[in-house]
Amino acid sequence: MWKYVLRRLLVMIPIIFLVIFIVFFIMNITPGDPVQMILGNDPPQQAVEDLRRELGLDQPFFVRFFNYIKNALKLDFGLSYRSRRPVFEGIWPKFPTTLLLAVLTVTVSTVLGVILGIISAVKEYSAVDVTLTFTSLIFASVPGFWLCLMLIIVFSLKLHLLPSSGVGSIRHFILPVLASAIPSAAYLARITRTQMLEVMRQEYIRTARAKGATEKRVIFKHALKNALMPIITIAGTSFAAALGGSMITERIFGLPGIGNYILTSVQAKDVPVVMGSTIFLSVIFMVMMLLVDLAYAYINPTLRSRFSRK
Amino acid sequence: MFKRKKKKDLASARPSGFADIWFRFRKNKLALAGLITVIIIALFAIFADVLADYDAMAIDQHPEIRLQGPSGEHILGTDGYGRDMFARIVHGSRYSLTFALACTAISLIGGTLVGATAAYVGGAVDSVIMRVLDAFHCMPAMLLTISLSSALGVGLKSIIIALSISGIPGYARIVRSVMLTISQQEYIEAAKACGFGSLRIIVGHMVPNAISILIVNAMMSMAGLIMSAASLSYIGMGIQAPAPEWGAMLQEGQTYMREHFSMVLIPGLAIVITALSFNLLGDGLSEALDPRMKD
Repeated sequence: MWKYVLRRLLVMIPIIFLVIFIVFFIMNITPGDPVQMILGNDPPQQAVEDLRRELGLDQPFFVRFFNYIKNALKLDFGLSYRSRRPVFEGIWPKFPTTLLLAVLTVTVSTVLGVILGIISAVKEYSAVDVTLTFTSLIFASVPGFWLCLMLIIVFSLKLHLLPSSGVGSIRHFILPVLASAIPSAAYLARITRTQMLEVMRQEYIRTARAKGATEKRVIFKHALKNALMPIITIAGTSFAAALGGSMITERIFGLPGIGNYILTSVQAKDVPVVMGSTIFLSVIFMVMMLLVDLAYAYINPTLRSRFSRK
Repeated sequence: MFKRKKKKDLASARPSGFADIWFRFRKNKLALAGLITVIIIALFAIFADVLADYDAMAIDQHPEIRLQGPSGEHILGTDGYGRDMFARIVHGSRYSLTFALACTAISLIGGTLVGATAAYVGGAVDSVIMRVLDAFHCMPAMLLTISLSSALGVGLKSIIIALSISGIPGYARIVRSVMLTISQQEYIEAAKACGFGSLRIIVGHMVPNAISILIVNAMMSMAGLIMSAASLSYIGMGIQAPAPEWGAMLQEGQTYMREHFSMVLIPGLAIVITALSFNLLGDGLSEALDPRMKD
């Protein structure tokens, strides 16, 4: 098991370098002169040259790239063009909001998705099943930002039940969490249904039934346990995706998370912030995926035995 | 009894190919509905200029008739600048279909080149390509698209490039794994045993078998592309107002959503219906093209 963990960690290192390279390359071709952005129009010639040297812009691409990596390993992503403060200081305080949103989203969507999926599978072809299947199909085609707008119209503007933007109480999180959780719950319900139906056709289910186990026991003890395997992977992936993919949701609901910060920075062409936060989110994504794989390897007896024997 | 039935089925079976696929596709009513809707949307896009004049109805502002409800003259009403909503939706379909088709084509070609190279050359080249694809996979997709489009600037061309590049790694992975699986199949071995050349094996046997998987994935990705393009325009990083792009229309309509929620309802429904049709079509195709479903 430890060998597996170690190998996975080693594989991550080149990928992190590649991510930094890709981000660095994209930002390098982004138009806009940082010097002009910081100093404004018509600055004195001396100041321009000093700043260019300070930002390292007088050096060739690869020298700048290696300097960037060297600093990035120390969590130093340079200074924000706008605030002239270290990028990481700007990102870190915004992480809890994004993390909370992701945790709530994944909890709600997993619980909802798995329960609906089980109902759907157990009552295959019933009215409930058909409705659920069709609803999940529709939600796969609804853009996230439009769902946000619709929720705001219904729950804030028409019913006046929930606040449409800002932070302060947990009530401010209800609509953003719903907006992110509904589509992913719909997807999870579909996967759970397929998995459950597949497992229910296995011979050990027939054996359990033949032994006289109650239907409840067959479903929860025998079928669900086996169907849950791929669901764990999907829930983990969707948690990782929620961390990086809630930019527009955060923007619409005015949540001060990393996603909202990135969007503002992209629009202001604040390159160091965009680069720093992209790398930050990608590394977190990688760590999450690693944890998911490890959890999977831990739960799955066949995988576990394969690695413990080595 | 069983044997005879089998024989009869074989005799009545259609020749494998387009007719066979169509026969299976037709049985799926939802998929058929998806196909018909896609065709209708495509017709709207093609004949947009016949249905509504672009400049006069979708762009020119008429403040005196702003924010009107549906009427005989404006069947979906007018927006905040007095422009006909129906004309704007119809012309907006051109953007969405262009994104879907162009990005899918570019990603598909790019992904096939990369994936086939990795699978065919193998060794160190394969490892390097796979690590690069892993790196792309680690970046949140929307974030990658947004950074790319900010690097390329706003406009039709840069959205297409940004979305296409974001799509390449996915196709490359699929093509690589499909190629590796197919090259180990028995029918490839049989073809080799018959003494066929590499070109004949690749073009005659590997490509036709890989293509059905690619077509299904391409169809499924179109819905996602339409939604991503609309999201980009919505946050102001794609097509800019006053162009009648659905995402840009939502961005504009948002101002009026308190009193006139149809401003955000109509463009949103246009996106949902289009994306849903492509998803249904993709679902149906995947069933029709999957040989295991053959009965």
